[in-house]
Formats: sequence, structure tokens, C-alpha cells
Amino acid sequence: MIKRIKSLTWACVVALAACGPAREVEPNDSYQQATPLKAGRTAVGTIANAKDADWYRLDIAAEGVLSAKIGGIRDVDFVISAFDKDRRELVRVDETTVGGDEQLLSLGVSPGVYYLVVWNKNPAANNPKQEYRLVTKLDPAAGRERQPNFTALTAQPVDAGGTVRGWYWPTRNLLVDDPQAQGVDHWFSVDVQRPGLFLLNVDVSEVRKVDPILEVYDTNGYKLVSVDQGGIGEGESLRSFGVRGPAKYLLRLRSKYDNVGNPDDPFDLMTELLPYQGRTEFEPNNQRADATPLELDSIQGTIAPAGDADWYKISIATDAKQLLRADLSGVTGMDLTLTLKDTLGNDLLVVDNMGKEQPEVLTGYGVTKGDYYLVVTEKSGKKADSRNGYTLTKKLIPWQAGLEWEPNDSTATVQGLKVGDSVDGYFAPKGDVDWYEFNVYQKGPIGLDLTGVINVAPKLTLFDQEYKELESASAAKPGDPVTLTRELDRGTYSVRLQPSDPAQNNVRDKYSFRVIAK
Amino acid sequence: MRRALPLAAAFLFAACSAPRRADVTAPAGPAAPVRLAAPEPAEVKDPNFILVVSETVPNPDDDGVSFTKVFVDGKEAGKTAVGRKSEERTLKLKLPPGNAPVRLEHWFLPAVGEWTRLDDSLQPRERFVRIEDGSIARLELRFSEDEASNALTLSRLPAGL
Repeated sequence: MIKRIKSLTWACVVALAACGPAREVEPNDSYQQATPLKAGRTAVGTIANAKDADWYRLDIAAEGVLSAKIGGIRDVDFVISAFDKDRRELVRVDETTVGGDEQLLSLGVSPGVYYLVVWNKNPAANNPKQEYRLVTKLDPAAGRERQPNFTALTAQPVDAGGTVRGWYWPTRNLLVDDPQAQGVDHWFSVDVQRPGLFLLNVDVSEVRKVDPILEVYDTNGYKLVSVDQGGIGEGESLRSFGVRGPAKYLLRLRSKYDNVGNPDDPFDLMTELLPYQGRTEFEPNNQRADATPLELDSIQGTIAPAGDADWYKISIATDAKQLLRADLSGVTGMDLTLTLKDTLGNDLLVVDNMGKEQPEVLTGYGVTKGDYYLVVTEKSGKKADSRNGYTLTKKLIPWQAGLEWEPNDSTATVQGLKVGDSVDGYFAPKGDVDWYEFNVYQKGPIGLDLTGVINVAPKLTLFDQEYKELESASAAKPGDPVTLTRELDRGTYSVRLQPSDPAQNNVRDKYSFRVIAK
Repeated sequence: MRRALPLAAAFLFAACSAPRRADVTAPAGPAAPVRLAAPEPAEVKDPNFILVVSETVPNPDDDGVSFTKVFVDGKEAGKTAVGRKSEERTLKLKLPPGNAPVRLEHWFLPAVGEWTRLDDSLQPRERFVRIEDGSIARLELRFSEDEASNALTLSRLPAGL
């Protein structure tokens, strides 16, 4: 019985010993002498002298993410290094000075042997008695960053549609020789395997103290986009970035400022890959060559990053004359501008009628067969918001006699009318001037009638065929009509219609203008 | 031998003057449309009306040929020479003084087919032009967007330029 009690006691002691911290076994100054340490366990040791380096050998059984933290002790400036089975140094962490803790986070490990080495950097260290504790932890690899992924070559593949958690830690890559290039980049790769067009959305969560920058590269190393909208402690978001499959794209995430990180708060990197269906912009669409085709009636986009210009291409295949109308919704905190451009990218019309958070309307512009571009920009060029988007709606209306045909804002592009005709048009956008021309084949009195439009006090000016002003008439107040009657000889006459104040406009109500033989 | 030489010469002459084989074998029936160019306008002395026609052609492949006819008071008064669309073509005319409606009619040669009159809806608008002594009326017509739109401007130059 006593024998059985003794053996039970020993078994308990052994079991307890197995549960407690592993004590280093000196000498453990090289990988051959490394003290075995189970991943997830704690090691206890001492820094016997300033040059002491304690090697620990970890036999990893499954894929995972290894973390290690060592508590600081007096006199000692700790450094933690991780090596693979071939003694290739994978990561080195040295973020604090004498007496400080060191922490290695997110080391990606596969089944096999790894080494953790704890060493001191302070040549004057003399604290051979005080024990340090090296706490390790092994987590499942799923959904975690796996360092070292500090270069494009070692980018970690991530599944689009998932989340990866990591830390902006360490803040310096000490394995790079150039001290000027020791910033730590976190590289991930997204493999778009299916052929076709897709939209990539990437969100990076906020982390205290860190101002992140997210960049997208292609496999040739060309930077496609850089997102840096948020500040310190804010996240980043890339929306509707167009990618073509099959191809691989690289994401580079880093802290904007050197030596800034956070070992306590992780970042979450969320990726999403959606088939492109023409309902949203296809970034990058910042220039004519990359314009997103606007084939459906409406499309959604965002102004991000700051200074973003979204180009949309409208291809008109028919020879028939049509009027292009476009409505752009407002965005919180932004003053948007809509510009219509021709096939070469030259401005045809700039629509900037309204102010902040208000919609813009292109009331109608005459288009024929060919390509046109609508460009959405933010007026200040300094704002960005990837979460609140705008909707751009287009409508093509067959032109018919009796409708205004923009551009008719000069004598060169004047719109022809016949005596007896009427035409409906808009005093829009802001600063709009409309010219009409008619021929009088028989001398007689001619009346010019212009209906009133809310918010506009129009002015009507009659010119002869040499563009000499003959007469003008103005509305007494906004909304009032204008009429003018005059005896005219045979000849060509032009009429200029414009608001008395260039700031007046009305994108909702049309005016009606008639030329009548009295 | 004496006879052979004149015979050979006569044969040769006949061969040169005879229609080509293709012409001979052309099928009978209605005459095929002819891709004729407009004749060069004659030089006018002391013109009082100048028409200048030009066109924006973004793509060199679309740089076909065209010409423009001028109708004054409903009657054809002249036409520009045929030229590349991208080239500026000028027509100088001496018109009787007075204020008369001038209509321009633009024609172009498509890649396949015959001379085609530009659709009515795309033709420049008719307008009155006053012809008077001491000045030249300069009417400038500029097409753009593949002839889908045009701008017509009238200016006046001192006579004798």
C-alpha cells in the first residue's frame, strides 16, 4: 500500500512538473543544445552573462501561428529571434530597451522544428540570478496573419471573402540590412482564379495609434492604387476596385509612420470579391482610358481616395440625335461636380449648380453616335468617403423638333428655329446661355414669347444677322415671362436667352420660347 | 515584207485605241453609279463671298473626302473642291449684292458606295448673308463629331484681301 502511495505521489509530481514552466537547461547556447519547449508552454531561464543566448526548440505538430512574450528583467535588453529548422532567421523583435518586455506575434508555423532564441543586447548586463519567463502560445492558422510576410515575395495568400487578423508588430524589420528601410510591410495576395471582371473590396479595421496605408499591386509590381483616407486610429477602405481574372493581386498594408505599431490591438483585414455586373464603378476609373462603361440606367460609385475622379463611358451606337440627361445624387459632406466630356476627353459641359450634399443635374445635352464621358469629382479635391456612395443615373431621350439642343450657348452653335415654332429648354446649368436663330423671309412684325420659370428672371436679346443687338427685354422678377415684338426685315435673326443673374438656374422646370409672326 | 510592216503598225494602233477587255465584257443594263469627284471650282476675281469648310477628324482612318455646295436664294451658286475632310476647303464667289438666304449642302464619299448627301438633320442651317460693296462675307462651316454637329459663323473682311 505504501509503495502504491509513493508511486502515486511521484506520478503527481511528474504530472505537475509537466504542467509547470519548462526550465532552461544550460548550456543551451546553440541550436544543438536547445532546450525543448512545447508550443503553448512557458519557459523559465536566466541570462547568465551579457553574451548569453538561450535557444529553445519547438516541435510543431500542426499548422498554426506562434506567439511569444518575454517579461523584462533588470539590466537586460531582450531580443527574441525565431528560426526555422534550417536555422534561417525568420523574425527578430527588439522593440524595447533595458528592462522592457518583448513580444513576437503571428509567426506562421508548419509541422516541423522551430527555434526561439532569447538573447541580450546590453553589453553591461549583469543579472544572472533573476529569472525571465518566456510565454508561448500556438493558435490555429485560420484567419490569422502568418509572419514573415514582409515582402511581396513572401505575401500571404488570403481567400477573398474572409478576414485575416494581424498586428502592426514588430514595427521594424531588423533582418533588413538598410536601416532606412526597416519599416514593416504586411503583404497579402488575392488570387482571382476565375476569368472575368470582379470588384475587390478591402476593409482594414482601426487600430489605436496606427495610421494605416493600404496599397494594391499587380504581379509586375506596379502599384495600382493607394488608400490613405483615415488618420491615426482610423481604418481604411477600398471599395469597388476593378480586377480582371485570372490574375493575382498583392495587398500591402503598413503603418504610415515609422516605428509606430500596436501589439495590443489587432487589425482585421477583410476582403470581398464580387462579380462585376455594371451596377457599380470599376476602379481604377480615374482617366478616360479606364472609364467604367455606363451601360445600365444607373451606377453607384464613391469618391475615394481624396481627389478621386470617376470616369464613366457612354457609348452611343445610333446615328439618331438624342439628349443625354444625367442625375447625380448628393453625398454627405461633399460638394460633387459632374462634367460631360467628348470622345477625346475635352470638356463639353460642367455641371455645378448646387452646393454641399445636394444633387447635380445635367438637364440635357445633344449627343450623336460616338463615345461620351461623365466624370464625377468632389469640388475641393480633398475629401473622400468610401462608405457613402453616390448614384449616377443617365437617360437618353430621342431628340425631336421643339426640344432645346445643347450646346447652343454661342452664335456658332446656335439652334435654328422657324417662325411659328416653339422650343422647350432649361436655364441650366448655372451660367447657361441659349441662342436661337430664325429666318424672316417676308418683312413683318415678329413676336418673341418666353414663359416664366421659377427662380429665374430671364433676359431676352434680339440680334440681327451681323450680331448687332437690336432690342432686349427682361422679366421684372423671377418666374415672370418676357415678350418682345418688333417689325423685322427679311434676314436672319438671333435671340439670346439667359438669366439676368448668371447664378440663377432651374434644373426642374423648362421654359418655352416661341417665335410668332404677328 | 512591205505589207507586213504597215499591217503590224495598224494592229498595234488598233490594240492601243480599243477598249480594254474588262470594258468590253461589262454587263449590259443600267449604268453603274459613278464615283465622280466634283470639278474644281473656277478661280473668281474680286470675290465678295468666301466659304471655308473644315472638319475635326480624330481618327485618320475616318479622313474621307467631301465637298460642299452653296445655294443662294435656292439656286446652286458653286461648290468647293473635293478634299480630305481634315483639309480646309475654300470657295470664293462673286455674288450679286443684297441680302439673300444661303444654304449649304454637304456631300461625302463613304468607304463603300457613292457620293452621299449628308442627312437633312445634320446639314448646316440656312441663313441670310448680306452681300455688299467694300466687304467680303466670310462664312465658316466647321463639322465635328463625325459630321454629326456643325458650327456656322459669319464674319466680314475688307474687300481686296
